Amino acid sequence: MSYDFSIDQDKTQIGTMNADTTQMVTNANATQYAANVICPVCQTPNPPSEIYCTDCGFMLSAQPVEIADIPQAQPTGKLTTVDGTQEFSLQMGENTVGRESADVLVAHNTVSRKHAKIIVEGASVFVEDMGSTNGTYVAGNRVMQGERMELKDGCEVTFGGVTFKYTAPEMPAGEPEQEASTEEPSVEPVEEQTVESDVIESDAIEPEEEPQAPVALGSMVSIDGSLSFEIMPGVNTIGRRAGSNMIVVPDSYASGHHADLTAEDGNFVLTDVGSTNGTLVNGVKLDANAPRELQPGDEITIGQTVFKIEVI
Amino acid sequence: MNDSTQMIFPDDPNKTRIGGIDPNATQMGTGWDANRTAMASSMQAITLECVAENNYALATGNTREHILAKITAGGMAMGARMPVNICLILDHSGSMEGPPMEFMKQACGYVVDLLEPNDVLSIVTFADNAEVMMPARRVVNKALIKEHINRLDLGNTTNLYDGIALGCSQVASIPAQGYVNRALLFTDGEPTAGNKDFSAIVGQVTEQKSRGITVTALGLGQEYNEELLAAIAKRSGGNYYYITRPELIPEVFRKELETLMMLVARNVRMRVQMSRWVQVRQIYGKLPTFGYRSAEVTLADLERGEAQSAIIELGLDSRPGGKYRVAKVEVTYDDSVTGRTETVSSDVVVEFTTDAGLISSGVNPVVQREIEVAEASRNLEKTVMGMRTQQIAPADAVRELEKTRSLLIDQGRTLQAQDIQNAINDIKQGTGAEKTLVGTIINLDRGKSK
Repeated sequence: MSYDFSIDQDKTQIGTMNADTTQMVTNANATQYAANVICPVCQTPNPPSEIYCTDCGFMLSAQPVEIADIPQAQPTGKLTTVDGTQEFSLQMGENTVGRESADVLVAHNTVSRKHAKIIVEGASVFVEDMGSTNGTYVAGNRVMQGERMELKDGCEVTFGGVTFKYTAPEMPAGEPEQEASTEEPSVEPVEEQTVESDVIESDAIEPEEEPQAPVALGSMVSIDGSLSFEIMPGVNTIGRRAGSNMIVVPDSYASGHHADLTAEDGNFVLTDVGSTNGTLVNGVKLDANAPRELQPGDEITIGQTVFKIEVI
Repeated sequence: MNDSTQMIFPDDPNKTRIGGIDPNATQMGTGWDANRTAMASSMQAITLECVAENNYALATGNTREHILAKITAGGMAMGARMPVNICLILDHSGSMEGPPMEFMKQACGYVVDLLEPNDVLSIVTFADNAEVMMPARRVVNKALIKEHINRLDLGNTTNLYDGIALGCSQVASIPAQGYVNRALLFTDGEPTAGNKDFSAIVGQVTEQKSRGITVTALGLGQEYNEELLAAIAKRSGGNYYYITRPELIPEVFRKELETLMMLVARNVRMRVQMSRWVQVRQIYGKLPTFGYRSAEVTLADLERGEAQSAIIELGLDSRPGGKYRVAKVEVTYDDSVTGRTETVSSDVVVEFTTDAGLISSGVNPVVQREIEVAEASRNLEKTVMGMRTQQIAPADAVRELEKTRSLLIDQGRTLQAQDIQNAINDIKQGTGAEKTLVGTIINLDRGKSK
């Protein structure tokens, strides 16, 4: 009975979260005992009080219309922000990247309105810079204007100050993983003998292992010892805002997103991303968006908190 | 004739203020349930309505869909106004000598007169450094406060950054609960001392906003940096005023204070919660922050009877046919009367179909008009940028502005069209028009109307 107004699409529902409106039943006191409603489209179980599927939004009182000529969803790759808050599925053909009306919308001051495009051609994916102010980088290498760089599975692509990880579509062949793990024991006896063989073997296995357990490359410890953070491979975002930073500094002088610490090829690089109160390395203030390489033992100041860099 | 100060929200005394429950004010397009509106607005200070550009979308492909979110504040006075906690952040650099200084002092006197004993006032001045002239306290001894103001002397340079920091710290020294707070930043020049970096100053204002402090930017004359003041107002959700002549300063201060006393909703934030297979492609004129399947933006504070709108562009993926809630829009705000944080929300429902006839019949012209206005604002931004960098000749700028002006007239945005006419006149007389136009852009982006 409470569905009647929701079916009328022209009508907007005024949100009345107030408890004394009886029409809208909130989940809190309604559900527990009744059976969940399975969404016919995405199979998500929903509390019976929900009018729309909490996942895909389908109106649960209706049945979906099967449409015969929906194009087969081709497996495409995706871009994920380092903090995991945003994920974009790439489409075949051109995908625009920018700060305004883009397929990959990156709302950041260092990103141009029309920054770059990603071209998906069959199984290959390329990046082109569209004359952006702060540049596009693939695994740290700048994409020059008019140049095309290919994206490989797991590589990082940076637009201005924002870094994404590219994940290639899953291929039907899931076997190699098992082969690799069965090979592993046979490698073990050899492991300690020669350095060369170790390097070669671990190279072959690494792609399987890395996503599961990334190993910290160093740590960032506050001078008073009260805070300690691991530095992971890739970009470590630093800031005051919990949830969107990998290193959360509880200091009111730190900006929401304050700086990025990138660990790559054994080097640590610190970049202030335009914080209000600045980032200091050994007492010297960094220019915004100017990367600075760090050495073990360097003291860095975020807001009013001083950290020491330690390398494992 | 109307050469007076070009303010963002000119108050037309002849116009009756339309109440939030007046059907003319709230009805947008189709199917509005008058009873529910009345019910909602009696409980909530603001109402939210979301309208889709098209009620139908193609099930077999990717579609772009625009959503117009309109936020309307109730028109009725609800009890006594909340006390204000304001800080006047005043530029007393050398260039303020003569009439600007005299009128600024007079303006501050007006502010003191308008405040009541339970309001809180602080005054911070900046030139080479920032100083607290009067720490945050209740406005009891008005004569004494004015005496202090009259003793203000001229300094040399303009240390805007420290002025903002000190002013906001004065506002923050009073518990936020129970007050409508605001920092009024008044300046006539470019920052010339302290931290002069554009992004550092704007960044600081953004930080202050996250602590609930709104900054209104008031620029006097031709020398101040309109790009900077506009960015401050934009990030902060406060107002932007371009004061053309010193004798208009008191009037503008009075206007801002009245605006403040009429506020019903502060710290207004809009959050778009996306369902699966939906992406936010942009929120016009705003820089969203993203969470898991969500995008959030800060909106301007709302006065009684005032409305503002935002346009959200969504990308919708293909899926089985049927009705879907593609997004849920939530607006959270602090109610200025009760002091409580409230939320209103609205579902955006779209039917996915393969019927081309339905899709072409489902277009909502109201939303399309608003999109045109939003795009006019982008064009205006480009024109201003071109004028500033001197890449557009004055004659070409006038031609671009004429185009935007006639579009705004067509869309019923007469106030902004008038602003643009003023700007065109300025250009023709050989004076800069950027200071007027940045205000027009803020105003268009906020989609404010009364």
